[in-house]
Amino acid sequence: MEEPTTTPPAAATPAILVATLAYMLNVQETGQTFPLPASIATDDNLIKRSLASVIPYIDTAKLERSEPKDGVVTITVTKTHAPKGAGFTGSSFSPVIDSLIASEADGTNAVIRTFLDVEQMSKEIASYQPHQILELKKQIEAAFKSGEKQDNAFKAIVSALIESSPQAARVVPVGF
Amino acid sequence: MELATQRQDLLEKARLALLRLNPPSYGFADAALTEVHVALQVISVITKVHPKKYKKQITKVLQEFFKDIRTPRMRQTDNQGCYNSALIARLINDNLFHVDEFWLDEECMDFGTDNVVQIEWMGYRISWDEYDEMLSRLDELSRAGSFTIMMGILWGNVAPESIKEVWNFCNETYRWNLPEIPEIQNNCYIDISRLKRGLRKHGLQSLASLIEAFDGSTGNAFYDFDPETWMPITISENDLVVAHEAWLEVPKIRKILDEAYDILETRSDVFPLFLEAYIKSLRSRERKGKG
Repeated sequence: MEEPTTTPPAAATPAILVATLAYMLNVQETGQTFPLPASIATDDNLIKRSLASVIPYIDTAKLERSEPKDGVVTITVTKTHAPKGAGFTGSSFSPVIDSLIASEADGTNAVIRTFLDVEQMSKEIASYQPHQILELKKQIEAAFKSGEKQDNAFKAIVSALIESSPQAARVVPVGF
Repeated sequence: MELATQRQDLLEKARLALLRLNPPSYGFADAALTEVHVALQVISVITKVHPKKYKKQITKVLQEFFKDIRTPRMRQTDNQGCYNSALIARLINDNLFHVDEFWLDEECMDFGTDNVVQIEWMGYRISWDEYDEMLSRLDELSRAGSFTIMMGILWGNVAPESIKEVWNFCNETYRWNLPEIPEIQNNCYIDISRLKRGLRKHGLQSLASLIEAFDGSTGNAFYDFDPETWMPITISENDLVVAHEAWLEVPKIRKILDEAYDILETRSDVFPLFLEAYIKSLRSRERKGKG
C-alpha cells in the first residue's frame, strides 16, 4: 500500500525564506511602492484584506510576485477589468441582453443551419427513400423562406444602424 | 478489416465534427443548399418517371454528389462551374432528357447560382447565318440539303437579284426538275393541314413535318427551341416532367424527319410534287375591317 503524500500549497513560500526576505508592494496603476510586513505579504488573501480600503479594486486585481532580488520580493498589483456589458438592471441595454440570454436559438441563419444539417447527414441522403427526399426538400424550401427573411431583416438592421446618428449612452456599462 | 472500418468511421465523424465548427457564409450556404435542392428535385422527378429502376439509375451518382457538398463549391473560382452541378446535369441527361453538351461540362455548370438548364435542341431551325453559309457553299450540299435552299427562296430569304442564279444552279446540280422559278404571291401563309393532305396523296407527308421543324413549329420544345430567343428552363419538377415527356416524343419525330431526308435523296419527282402541294396550300391573309 502506498504512503499517502501531501502536496504543499502552490503559493506557499518556504518558512526559511519568510524570515530573511523583505517585501515591497508596487501599485502599477499609480506607480506607488511601499513596504509590506512579511506576516501579510506571504499570503495574497491577507494582502487583499489589509489593503481593501486603500486600493478599492484590489479584490479583482492581479498580484504578481517577482523573484527575490537582493533579498527583496516585489509584489505588483495590476488592475483587471470586470466583465464588460450592462451590469445593473436599470440599464437600457438590459432588456436586449436579457432577451439574448433567454433566446433558445443560436442565431444562425436557417439556410446556414440547414446546410450544416444536410452536410452532417449527407451520406445517408444518398440512400433515402422517395418520401424522405420529399420531406428533406420541404425542409430546405422552408429554410430558404425563413433564411431569406432573416437575412433581409439583418441587412435592414445593419443598414439602419449605419444610417443612424451616434448617441451618448445614459449609463456606463460595467467594465468601462 | 473491422479495425480499418472503425478507423474510417472515426475519421469521418471527426471530419463532420470539424465541418460543423466551421459554418459557411450565408451566400455560400444558400448556393450549396440550392444545388442540393435542385438535386432533390431531379431525383424526385426521376422517381416519378422511373419508379422501378430509379435506385439503380441514380444511387452511384448520388453517393458521389453527397460525398462532399462543400469542397467542390469552395474550389470554384469566379464564373467557373461546380463539379456537383455537373453531376446533376448528368443525372438529367441520362434519365430525363438530353441537355446541351455545354451544360455537362464541369467548368460551366453551377446550379447553385443559376438553377436553369439548357435542353439539347435538335438543330433543324436554321439561323440567318447558317443559311447564308449554305448559300455560299451551294456546290457542297446534299440533295436533301438543297431542299433548305428551296424553302429559303420560297420564304423570301434570298436577295431577289440572286434568286435566278441560285435556283438554276440547284435545279441542275440537285435534279429538282423545276426549270421555272415559281411565282409566289405576297402576303400569304401556309395552310399546313392542306399542305399535309396534298403531300399525303404522294406519300410525302413527312416533308410537311420537315417544314415545321425548319420553322420551329412542331410543338416539341426540342425541335422548336431557338437558342437566340428562348430562355433556358428554370428547374422545377413540373418543367422537368414536361421536358421529359417532350423528350419521349423526340424519336418519333426524328424518324419522320429521317424519312423526309430519305425521300429527298431518293425520289426523283419529290421537288415538283412538293412545290405543287405547297403552292396549293398558300392562303392570302385577309385584312381585318376591310370589305
